[in-house]
Amino acid sequence: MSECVAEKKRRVLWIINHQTLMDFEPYILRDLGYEVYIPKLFPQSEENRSGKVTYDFDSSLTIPREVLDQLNEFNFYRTKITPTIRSSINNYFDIAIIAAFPHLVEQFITAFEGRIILRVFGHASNTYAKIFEDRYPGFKQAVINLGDRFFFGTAFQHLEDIEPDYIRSRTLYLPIGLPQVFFAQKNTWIGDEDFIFFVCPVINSSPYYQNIYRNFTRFFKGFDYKIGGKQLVQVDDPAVIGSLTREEFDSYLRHCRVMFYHSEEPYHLHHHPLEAMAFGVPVIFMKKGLLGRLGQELPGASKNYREARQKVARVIRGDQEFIKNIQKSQYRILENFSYEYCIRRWRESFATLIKERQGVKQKRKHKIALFVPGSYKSGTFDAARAIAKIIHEKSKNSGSPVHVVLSVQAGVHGYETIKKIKEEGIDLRETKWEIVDRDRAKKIANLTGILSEMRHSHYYVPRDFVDDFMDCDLWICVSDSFMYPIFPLKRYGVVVHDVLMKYFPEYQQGPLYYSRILQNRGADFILTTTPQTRDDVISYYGIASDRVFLVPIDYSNEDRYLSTQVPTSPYILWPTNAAVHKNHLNAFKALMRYYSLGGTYKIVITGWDVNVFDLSYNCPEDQLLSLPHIAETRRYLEREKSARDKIEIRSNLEKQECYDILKRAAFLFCPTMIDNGTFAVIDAGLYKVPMCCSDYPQMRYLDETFNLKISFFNPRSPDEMAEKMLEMEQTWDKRKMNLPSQQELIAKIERKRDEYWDIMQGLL
Amino acid sequence: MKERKIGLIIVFPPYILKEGEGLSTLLLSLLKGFQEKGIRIILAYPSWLDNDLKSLLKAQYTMIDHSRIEFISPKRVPIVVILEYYLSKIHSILHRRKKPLLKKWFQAALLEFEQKIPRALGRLNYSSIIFLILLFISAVVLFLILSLIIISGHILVSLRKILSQKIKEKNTASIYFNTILNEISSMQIRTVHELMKHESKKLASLIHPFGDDIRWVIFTPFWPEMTRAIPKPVVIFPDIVFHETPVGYGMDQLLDFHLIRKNNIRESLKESSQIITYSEYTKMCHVQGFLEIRDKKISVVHHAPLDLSGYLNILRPFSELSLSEKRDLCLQIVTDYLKTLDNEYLSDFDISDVQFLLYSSQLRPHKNFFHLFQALNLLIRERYHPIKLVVTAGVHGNRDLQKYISDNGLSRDIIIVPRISQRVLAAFYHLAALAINPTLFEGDLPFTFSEAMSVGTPVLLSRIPVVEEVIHDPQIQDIILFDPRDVDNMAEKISWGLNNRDLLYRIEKPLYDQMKKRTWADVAEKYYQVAYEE
Repeated sequence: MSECVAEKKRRVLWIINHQTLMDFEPYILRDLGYEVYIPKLFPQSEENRSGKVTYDFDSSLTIPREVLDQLNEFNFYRTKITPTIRSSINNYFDIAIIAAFPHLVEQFITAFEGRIILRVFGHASNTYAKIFEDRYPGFKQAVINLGDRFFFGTAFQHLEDIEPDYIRSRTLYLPIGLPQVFFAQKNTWIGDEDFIFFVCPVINSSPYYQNIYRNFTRFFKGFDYKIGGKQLVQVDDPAVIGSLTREEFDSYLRHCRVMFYHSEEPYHLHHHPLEAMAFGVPVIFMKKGLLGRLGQELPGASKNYREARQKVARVIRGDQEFIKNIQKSQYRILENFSYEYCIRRWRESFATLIKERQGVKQKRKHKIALFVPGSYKSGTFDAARAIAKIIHEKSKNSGSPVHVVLSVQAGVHGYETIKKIKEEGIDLRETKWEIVDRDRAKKIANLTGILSEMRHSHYYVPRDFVDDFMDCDLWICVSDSFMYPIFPLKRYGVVVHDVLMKYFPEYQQGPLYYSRILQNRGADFILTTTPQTRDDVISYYGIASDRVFLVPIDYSNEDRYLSTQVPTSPYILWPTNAAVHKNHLNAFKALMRYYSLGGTYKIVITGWDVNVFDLSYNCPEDQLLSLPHIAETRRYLEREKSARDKIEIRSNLEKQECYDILKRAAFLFCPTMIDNGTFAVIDAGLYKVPMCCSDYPQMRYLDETFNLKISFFNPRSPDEMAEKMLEMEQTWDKRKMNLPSQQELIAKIERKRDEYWDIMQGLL
Repeated sequence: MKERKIGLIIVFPPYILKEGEGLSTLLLSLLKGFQEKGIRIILAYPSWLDNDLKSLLKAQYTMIDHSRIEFISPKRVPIVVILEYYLSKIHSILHRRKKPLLKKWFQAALLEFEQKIPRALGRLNYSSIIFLILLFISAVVLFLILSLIIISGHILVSLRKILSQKIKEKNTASIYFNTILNEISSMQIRTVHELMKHESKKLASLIHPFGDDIRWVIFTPFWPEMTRAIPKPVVIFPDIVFHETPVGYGMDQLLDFHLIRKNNIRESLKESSQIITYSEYTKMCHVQGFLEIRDKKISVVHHAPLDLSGYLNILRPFSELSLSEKRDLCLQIVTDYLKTLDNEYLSDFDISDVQFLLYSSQLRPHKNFFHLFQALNLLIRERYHPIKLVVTAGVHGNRDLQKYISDNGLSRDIIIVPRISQRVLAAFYHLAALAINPTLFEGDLPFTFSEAMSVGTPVLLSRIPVVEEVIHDPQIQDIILFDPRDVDNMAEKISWGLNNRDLLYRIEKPLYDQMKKRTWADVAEKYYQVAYEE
């Protein structure tokens, strides 16, 4: 991933969308030799009444059409940058000029790898540093961390004077310009109507403007005036003319006798007085404001409202000499906004920008951390291991090796397992999860430069007591079962295997319920392995679809001998566990029905904690026994004594023992109500053991993906399940012959690993 | 040419006129209609509606020129209404679920302490030590007083909880207590009724001077006193909904109110010169059938469609936006709205790719929420549709519905958004996969149809007489209507609609375009003609 900055196309993201700026700045950038992208979506609200969209610059962008379409459908102002957009903006753009909105600042500092210019025009009551530091404790450090990639793009000189050092030292003067069309209006002022033109929007909706309005009407009482500006609530004053079209506004400018500009903000300037000056309208303004700083001793400048009234009176009376003096002096102010002045200063500033970034970016190896929460030993841990292996091997083969770090909890895994993982080239780190509260999290953010609002009361932090995984570029949590959301010290993704809480009220209680939702919403991306789970993540967790990726099943077929066997004493194998979604009661009812219909095979039940279904097991400390679904199933089994001798329960077996039992089974029985599809069916496929399973979308997906020829039944109907089992008893041997070969299945699994890596590459 | 005038009398109880609710929408639409036809309006109403009505008319989005409406209303609001208003304000302040004030003050004080004390310690001298000791003693005394107050408060709250728990249990004391509560409730209803009677008389006396020059249309048929006082009154009769679902309404708290109303309706209609209903069904089954009023002229005036797209005109007209701009705007409105909810699940919820059904309705027995929830459960759990349901009714107020939701784990699948503004409603409609109305009865074609279609979303409706009265084509009926009493049928239709959204919209568009030809100005004209008919 090496690149030479000089080789990269000169393209700029201009994320501002202000209508008057849009008539000037993108053209300046184009004249400086840049291709410019302007967003097509921005928040449509009264606060953004000056917002505008244009497609005029799209045709000159030399980026792929689909990338342009993606950018045009994306709302930069409101939406978290998705992995796809992140990839696009980093691949195709070197500079981003962004409006000083907190969301844009957070998103671009976090996601954009090019140079960021924060475009500022002055703030009425605060420094920009304070505004952003108050919102993001890590803002200052984040800017410092960016080094020479962050600039404070000021529209007026000396705006940076009140900012702290770390901002001031990054100032880039990019003067604001007036579009040529306004200069074309030079000397078009007529001034034949005796009124003051004043602009004051949202009078009855904004206390600030209400005060401005009151001052104006008080001090200019007795004069005729017209007050323009959009009003959200009707104003009972016939002089308030409200929102105007461009033509109407120009007409008022042309015919008014004088304009009064009220602003005393030293670091902020509206556009309309400049527009008026370009027309030749005499503008009376306040010395204390920014306009006053540009022209302190100019005849139009007033030190207070009283003086302003006197000057307005002179203009209204027709003091021609005074009017001419004002007009002549105003052109000096306008020079600061002319194209010639602006392009000269922009060119100087951009020269600094490019100079600081010369050189070649060195190739760097990416590092990914994979986290497994809690003491998972099988399913989730196996998935994590499988993912680690895929990334490690496939990245090495592709020529861009990725260093994989697998995080495990101390004391959970045996010596052999750890040895084997290390032999596979995967770095293993024992991890302790510590909890931080919001206050501490804010302070850590301050230290590290993380831009996040810290909305949650507590977070989990992974500790390895060395680098604490801060040396990794990307974190992936191979489960969303965290008691607290992970502290976003790094960009992180989550692998979600299922959304069972959507289907079972029992999973909607307890501390994990909300933490799952929060964890997933905070993630940069989610990985799911079936389309149904993907849909569930989007609809239940409320996560945008372009942050949820469908990846192939994270299955690994290693660690076993793949010899098949023809069962001599056939039995049914039911792999399960004690969880409520496993549908035990219906399954046992189906079993009893199967035997009553003449079924002869015994059933072997394997899995974690399945001994709870053994009626001879009665451990008072075992809380599982008190769970309603377990208790109900046990009560049922106590009543149904007839086929007890046909049920064999083998709880908590090692993996190899499970495979041994599987290969001798006649068929696999999976009556789960719903989950993400069990890997047991792929295991069964490898051992050429036919299967009958519940009919739900995830299982159908596994069946289609691996061509497992599963026979399906309705998990709510014990009768249907029983009939299916009877049918399987009679046909399993024929079905066995029709199953795909092991080689075929292994080849499919391998292809899925390649697909997995392709997707992961895009997310890095 | 003589100016055309019409009098409208709206006699609603307090707090009925809220933006977005059916009555307000109907009233505003009619007023706009009359103004478009150049008919001058004289609006007569009880004193307590003055503020609500004028706010509604002045609200940002309505295009009614209220300077061209003559307002007639008694000046003084009855004391009991004023009292009730302030009591409910106090109640809502006490129950506001924001951060408790005490906790806020405590945290602010702690912050001050953290910042100021280190500085003070750095400058410590003997006089400041004495000062600190005094400060410490004052703080301890204050702390003890506050603790006493807090503990007392907690004791009171606990007592209240115990008391209400006892009331829930079936014991003798609670039965007596419930009897008292019921009696109070009944008294409240009778008080409202007497209030309305008295106010009607005052209003009638203000209307009297207009004489026979103006014809009056009475918006609600509940107040025979009003009808008697007006010459040749035309009474609008929407429906008598508790006739359709008597047990449902019989079980609700306002049973006494409904019984009083039923008698009043009959009296009022008997006193009318003419009656307007919104459908043939209500004309025949309710007025002529149930109420047995067969000797009056009854005119059926269907509603015109409602168009919500105007509420989405912000910087530009909604109709001028591209598809992605429309969607983005609506997402912005809905997302901003969800952030305001005191709900951890919803405040951060990204709805952009979530398929949801929308049912905009109040919570009433005939609105058929139960079956809709059952159909949703079927769709999610057995058909695996990843959908949600958004409802605008305050479903939390119904214990049985709440129990169904929590027993079936649907609390995250059903999003409840009561009392949303028309703008937010329009945005929800635009984003919805489908709008649905499973009602068992309505006075006319539900507004759901036009509201949804006006912003580009197709609709599924109950197969009920008033709907079949307007949507005649059997083929279209088969596609867009379902049996509201058959959960499987409802689920089937919804499933089909979700998978064929564009097709459904295309099927319904010509019907909607045809309906749009008839406007509220046409409806207003018809009302005028009926009022002035001899």
